[in-house]
Amino acid sequence: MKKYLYLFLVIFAFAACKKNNSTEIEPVDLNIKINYKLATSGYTLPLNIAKLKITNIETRTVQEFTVNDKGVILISKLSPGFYDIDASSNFSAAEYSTITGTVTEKAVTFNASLKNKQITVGFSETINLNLIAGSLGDWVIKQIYFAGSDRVNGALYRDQFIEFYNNSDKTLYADSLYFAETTGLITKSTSGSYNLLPSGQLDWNKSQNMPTDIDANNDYVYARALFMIPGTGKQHPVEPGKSIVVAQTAVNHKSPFTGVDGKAITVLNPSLTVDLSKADFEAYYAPFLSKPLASDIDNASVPNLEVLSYFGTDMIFDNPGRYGYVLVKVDGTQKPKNWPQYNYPTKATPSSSAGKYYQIPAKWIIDAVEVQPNEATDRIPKKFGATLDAGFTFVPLGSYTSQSVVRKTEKTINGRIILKDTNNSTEDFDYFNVANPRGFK
Amino acid sequence: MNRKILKYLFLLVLPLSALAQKTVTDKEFQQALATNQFYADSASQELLKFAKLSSYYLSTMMPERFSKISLTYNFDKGTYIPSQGATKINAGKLSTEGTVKLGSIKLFGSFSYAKTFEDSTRFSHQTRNNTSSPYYFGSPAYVHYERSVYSFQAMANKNFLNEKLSLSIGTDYKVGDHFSTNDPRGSIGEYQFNLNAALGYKLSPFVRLGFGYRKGYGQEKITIGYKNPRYYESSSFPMYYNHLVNGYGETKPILNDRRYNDDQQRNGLDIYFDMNAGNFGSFYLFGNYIEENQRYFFANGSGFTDYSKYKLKRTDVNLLWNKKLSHGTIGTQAQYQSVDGADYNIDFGANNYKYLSSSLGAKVFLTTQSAKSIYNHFIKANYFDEERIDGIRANDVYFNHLMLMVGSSKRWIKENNGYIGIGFSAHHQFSLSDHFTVAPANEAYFTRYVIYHDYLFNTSSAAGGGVTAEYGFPLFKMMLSSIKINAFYTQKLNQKSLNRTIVTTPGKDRFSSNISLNLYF
Repeated sequence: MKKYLYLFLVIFAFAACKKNNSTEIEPVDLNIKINYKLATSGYTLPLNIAKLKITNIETRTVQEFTVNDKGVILISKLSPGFYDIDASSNFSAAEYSTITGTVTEKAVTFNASLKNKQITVGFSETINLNLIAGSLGDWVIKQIYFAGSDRVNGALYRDQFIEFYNNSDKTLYADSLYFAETTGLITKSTSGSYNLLPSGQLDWNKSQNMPTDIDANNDYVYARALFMIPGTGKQHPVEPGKSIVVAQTAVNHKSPFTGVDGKAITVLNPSLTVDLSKADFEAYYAPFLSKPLASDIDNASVPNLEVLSYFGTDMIFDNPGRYGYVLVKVDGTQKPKNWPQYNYPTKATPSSSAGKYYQIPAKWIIDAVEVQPNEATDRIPKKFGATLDAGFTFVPLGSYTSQSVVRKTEKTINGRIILKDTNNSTEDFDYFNVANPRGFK
Repeated sequence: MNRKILKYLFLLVLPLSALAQKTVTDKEFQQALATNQFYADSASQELLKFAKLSSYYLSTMMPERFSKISLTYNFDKGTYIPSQGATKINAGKLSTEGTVKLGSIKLFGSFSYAKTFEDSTRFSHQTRNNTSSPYYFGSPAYVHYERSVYSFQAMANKNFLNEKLSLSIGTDYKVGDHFSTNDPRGSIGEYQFNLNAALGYKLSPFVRLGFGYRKGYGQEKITIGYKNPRYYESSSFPMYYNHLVNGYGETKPILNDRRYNDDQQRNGLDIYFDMNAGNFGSFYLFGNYIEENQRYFFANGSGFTDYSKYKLKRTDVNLLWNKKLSHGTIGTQAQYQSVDGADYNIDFGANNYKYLSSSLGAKVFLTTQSAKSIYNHFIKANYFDEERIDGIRANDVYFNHLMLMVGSSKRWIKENNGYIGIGFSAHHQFSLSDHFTVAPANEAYFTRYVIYHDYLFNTSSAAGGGVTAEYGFPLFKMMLSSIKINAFYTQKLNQKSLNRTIVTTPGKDRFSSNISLNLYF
């Protein structure tokens, strides 16, 4: 009996041996070339101070590399997959001034990034990264609370806010500061309906009536909602190291309040939400809507924003974090209310009732923060180039979790906190588990 | 089409209609007896099972006429199951099948409707008939699944040239609806349609050779919904996340776009060789190769988005030998199956996942019968191996095992043609060898809940047994009916140890049972 059993197994083993159990997965040697994108050829910047970081999106494994004099890097035996590739060069103010002859008081950071890059088996292209210095302004976006709090126990989205910070050493005035929630392709599954760039983002050059003599993608962003902080010019001073909080609705969301429909609005767990009764400004949409949101009450002691364009029934930020935020400061030559508006660049001709979005020139943007959903698989192609924000930030737990993104503290000088601003929100931002207006991380 | 043809077609599709016949004749009862004996004879059953593999065998291996209706309730319970199994199953099934000859055309038809309730199943928003798939959704949280599956099968055969040439066609169609009733709520619609055509030629009175072609289509349409949006809006509830399995390793959360289609296309070739060797009995050899291409994608107004591709190559070789004895039949059935699956991973632009399995089985059966009793005995050995490889994660898990089974039954036939039957079986499964390569660095939900659990399950040894009891009695003087009860019990004997973070292990046992009401006519 035993010998028949062995015979049986031998026959089978012979059949089984013929199977090919190797896959086609092979590591990739990845070539990267880094350059500076400079406005002038009057000087050169050293490449060997650049640092390269490559992050496997799935495994979140990070590898860091230094760059040679020629800006060339060879990464051997890289697993195929999707990667975030970031490069940066940091110059102190003195170094930068010496090399370029341009006097600056702040450190200068050059950034380049390529997000969600697919590296397939056999990938042989050389990836070119152009390091670009972004504008580092006095105003920065400090905190964005877009996630909202728990649907059942918290305040849903009505406790959202955004905070702007005076990161300079002089008093600034918030009067006529503009800010926008910027739009683009936000749902990958609908991408086939739009004209797209190779990055997968919208190709605004293809929008209906877009002038042909402009770079609609790199020199502009597009606003889903555009707001202005009111004021006569010096009505709202903000001291160095201080901030202003702009609330969707400036009330203490931890406590019950009466909505515009006369019904009480409460939260089951006050620790999940925030007190915005001391906010500096709030959005009030009731004047534009036939049926305002019940929670959109007008706090008489908090000035209302001027709303140039809006979306939805209140200043409701996208909870998953698929949009971007920009802070805009213009001079007297500009009237943002008169800036042109364009449709999404759909393949089909947009209908006459299709939404149009303000076109904001990048040159007036003093700070930009791109946010993304928390899960890598839900992320969308980046909307901002490296001149605005080389990276992106996100809240780790996702929507309705009370979490906010907050700019990191870089240093404190004479009691004034200076926030990190390298024009790369991946590096510059951290998060609060529960949003904390005017708090620091 | 005359009325007679319509009547027979109706009988084929739904033999229940026979119940409506008003004229009761002895001839019909004799037919019912013959059908019942056909089902009582394990050798006949092996032939029937073999014949259902292809319409090619309709003319030679199926009786001229038989009809059966069964209503079955199935109950399974126990945690000695694979990771993606269900801890408890309640299932009901109505099935009918039968043959009829219409002039020179022989027909076979079957229909079944099965409703299944599965408790506590995880990481498997799947139909359960595409289990080697590299691409599916799942979550660590247990869900309760309900499944409704309708299956139809029809075959026709006609002989030409003095019965030398036979042409046969067969088709089967299945449509199913599967859904879970708690978050994450999987909803899977499926259909499968297969056609086969075969040509057979008698080279001599004893030898017949045939070739066949198969073509099939299918689709699974998967959507995952939630009643509680908190489960997908944040990562605060990872047990309820919708995970995408794409290979055999750690998953990705897919919180949006939780849907895809799996379109399937099959092509295959059959080869047949039959030999009637006189005193040595009859041999039937059937070889079959099917290549199936699956495309995982989603289509909407914006176009198509491809997610994955999967190619399955399946080779089957079946051999049946049976020989009539003076008071019964002896036979052997052997089968070999090889399944090779390989994906094309869109993310990596290459093949990343491989599924390789083989099985080899042999069964010797003996039926002896007299006017008063029928004995069925069998002994069976089944070898099975499986390997799942994920290239990017460097996971490679292989196991094989051997199952030995023996069984015997007896039927006592009463004077009124009623009967009482009782049977016993015993089985023992043990692992022969395995290898396990899974990087601990990759360890997360899928690795802990599925890979580790399945490795422990598949390399464990188990033993058990079953009992069968049947009571048959004439009904309405035109048919035989029976009530049959089966119960099986399997107990885990040994389980390997695995020095990893073990969060779930196979339980100690599994109990399966069913009770059926059968009508033969």
